[in-house]
Order: sequence, then C-alpha cells, then structure tokens
Amino acid sequence: MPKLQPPTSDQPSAALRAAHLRAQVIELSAAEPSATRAQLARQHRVVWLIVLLVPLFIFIACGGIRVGPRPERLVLQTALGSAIFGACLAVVGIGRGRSMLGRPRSWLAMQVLLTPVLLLGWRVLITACYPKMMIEWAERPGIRCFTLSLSLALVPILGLLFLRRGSDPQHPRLTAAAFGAAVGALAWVLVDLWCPVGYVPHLLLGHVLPLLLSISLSALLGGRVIALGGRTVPLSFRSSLVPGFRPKARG
Amino acid sequence: MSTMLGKFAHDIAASSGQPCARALPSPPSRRELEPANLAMERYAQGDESAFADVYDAVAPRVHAYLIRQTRDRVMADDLLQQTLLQIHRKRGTYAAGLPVLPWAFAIARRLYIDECRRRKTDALWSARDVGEDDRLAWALPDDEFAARETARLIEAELARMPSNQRAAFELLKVDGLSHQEAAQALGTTVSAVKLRAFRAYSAIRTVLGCPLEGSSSEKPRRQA
Repeated sequence: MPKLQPPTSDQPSAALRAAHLRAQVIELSAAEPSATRAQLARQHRVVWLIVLLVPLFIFIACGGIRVGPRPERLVLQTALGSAIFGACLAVVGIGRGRSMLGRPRSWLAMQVLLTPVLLLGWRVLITACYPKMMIEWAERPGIRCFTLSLSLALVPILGLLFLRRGSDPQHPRLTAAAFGAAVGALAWVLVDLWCPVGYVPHLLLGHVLPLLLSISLSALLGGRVIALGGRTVPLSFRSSLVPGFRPKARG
Repeated sequence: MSTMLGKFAHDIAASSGQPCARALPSPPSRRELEPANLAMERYAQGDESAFADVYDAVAPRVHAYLIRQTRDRVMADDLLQQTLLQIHRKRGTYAAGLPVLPWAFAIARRLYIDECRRRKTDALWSARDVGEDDRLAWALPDDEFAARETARLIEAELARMPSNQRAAFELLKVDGLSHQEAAQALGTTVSAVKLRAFRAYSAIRTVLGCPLEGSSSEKPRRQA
C-alpha cells in the first residue's frame, strides 16, 4: 500500500501561513511598545489640564466677566443657555459613546451644523427680549471678540487632536470638525460672558465666524492628525516565509 | 467566498427549504464574540500575553473579511498584520466593555481602502483563486454543484450591487455582527445598515428565485 505523500506545492499550506503570520504579528507587537491604559491615562490627565486651564487663563487675562450695560439677568440667561448647549454639543462632539469608533457620521454632521445655529439663535432670541440690547456699537465691530474666540479655542483643539491622534479609521475630518464645534461652543460661552454687544453683524463677525474657523481649522488638521496611521510596517509576511525565519511565539 | 455564500444560503434554506444549504455553518453567536472583548480588556490593562488571545479571537474573522475584499491572500495577510498592529498601538484607548470586532473591522476596511488607493490598479479586483481553504466541506457532487451555482449567482449579484449594500450584507450575514456593530464598523446608523442589508438580501433572494413577499425592491426574475 503506497504511503500518503504531503502536498508538493511550492506554496506553504494555509495552516502554516496562518501560524507564521500569527507568530510574526505577535513578535512585531512585542518589539513595538505601546502604552497601556494606565500609562495613557496619565498623559491624558496632563493634556486635559492644559486644555481646560489655558482658555481660562486667557479669559481671566482678558478681564473675565464683563457685564457692561447688560442687565445681570440677561448675562445669566445667555451664558446659562449657551453653557447648556455647549455642554450637550461637547458631549456629542468629543465623547465616543458606546463604541470604539466614536459617534455615527450623521450625529457628528448634525452637531457641526447645529452648533452655530443654536448658539447664535439663543443669543439673539434672549437679547431681543431686552430693549436696546441689540443696537450697534460703532467702536466694537467684533475684531476683539474674533481674536478672543480663536485664542480660547486654539489650544483645546490642538489638545483634543493630540489625544485622538492616529485613531479614527472612519471619518477623521468630521470627528475633528466636531471637536472644533464643541470647543468653539465652549469658547462661545466665555465670550458671551465677556462681550456685552448684541448687534447681529457684530455677533456674526466676532462670534460666529471664529466658530466656523475653529471647525474648519480642526477639520483641516484632523484629516491628517487623527486619521488612522498609515503603513508603518513594510510588506513583511513574505519575508517570514524565507528559510531561516524563526518567529518567537508569545503567550 | 463560498463560506459567506454558504451562510447566506443557510438563511435562505431556513425559509425556503432548499437542500443545498443543510451542511453549511451558521454565523458566530454573541457568546463567541465576548472573548475578544475580555482579551482586549486584559491587554489594555497591560497583560502582554493577552495579545495572543486578542489575535485568536479577532484574526480569523477579519482575515476572512479581508480575503473576500482583496481576493489576494498575501495582501489580506499583510492587511491583517497592519490591523492587529493598529489595535496593539491603540490598546490604551480601549474602554472596558466596548466591542472590539467592529473596531477591528473598521480598521481593516480603512487599511484596505488606503491600500487600494495606494496601488491604484484594477488588478486587485481580478478574479484570483482564493485557495484551497475555500473549497466546500462536503463531497456530494449534486450538493456541491448546486452550491457552486448558488455561489456564482450570489457572487455576481454582490458584484453588481452598490458597495455600501454589499458591505452591510457581508458584515451581518457573513461576519455575524449585530446591526449595532455593523453600523459602528461602517460609521453609519443602525437604520441605514438595516435598509442596506434588506436591499441586498432582497436582490439576492430574487436572483435565487425566492423573492421576499411584498418586497418593493424586487427585481424581475432572471434565468439562472
């Protein structure tokens, strides 16, 4: 009775390839250190501290809360409403929800679109309830509000992009745009406390335009920064099939 | 591909009683998906040996997905390697309890798309034999012939349908992901995934000669 012969094909069997691939991936992972959750948490705490403290420092350095001619009740209502909107938008824009992949595309798009509309709408709606609060201030076209808004938003946007760098395989630009909208919304709250002008062209130039710029800048940077990292390991499986390759198994 | 078609044929058989699907495997259950999450949790906490478990839980299904997409075993191997290394690099970001598989599928999909863009060639889509693993497990000639014919029809229909419908169908029917997980992997809503899968399902059932009753997306029955 003839003996059974092994396959004579030049190609390695599927099982052998799978075993080599497994061993190689495990070996490559062992050779490339990656941060554990605890190690990453320390780094994140530092970045979050910077993200929160820098805008506050800038805000205080610029004079903090300025009521001006506004009734205190108007300041409270605009700031409280903006803060609630901002918090909700930040939860949607920055949080990942119950998924490693973040929010669905439709949620993020909605958040980006709604942010300027809600914030501007709330500010105008509340201000319109008070007489003479929407009149033009000739000496305040909105340049200072524009500068302050961008200054408040810049560091948090960079911080958030840093925290999520190289991690989004699906829609990095939209995720980053949502970061920009969330940060811009929170910056809006501080600027609301600082700026007494309710004139609509001023709001458009000094408040809405920097918000839109924050979104655009964040999306522009995010497309590169938080997109999933490209190939960092060359096509190496073939090399594992050459004679002499001895992967070290782990685990 | 035959495995995928077999699983779909399994569903079809459940409703129409076709004999060709009786020996085919069913999609993985929920319980089979949990070890991946548990292993990933251990790995995120710093247990280095858990990466082997993550690999064993994730790699077979992602690899099958990549082979279906690329039709090139070497490229699929390479992309699988990249996918697992990406998971390794980002292990610290893993939050306890979140599903790993949609994440892994999304990374694999992104890497595959990037690789296709990089190569910029249609040669990737040429029909290449996937390998001996894809041979059918049973040996009865009639069943095998019927299954091959079914596979040919479904493959042709899958090739015709929009890529978003095909992706939703494959993740649900082949890879056994839930609607929620497939929605996460595709970056869309559960409703959109259901709709895309339903359209794909309806189209394939129509091709196989057993259209869904009352389906608005039915196509004219074709001659097989």
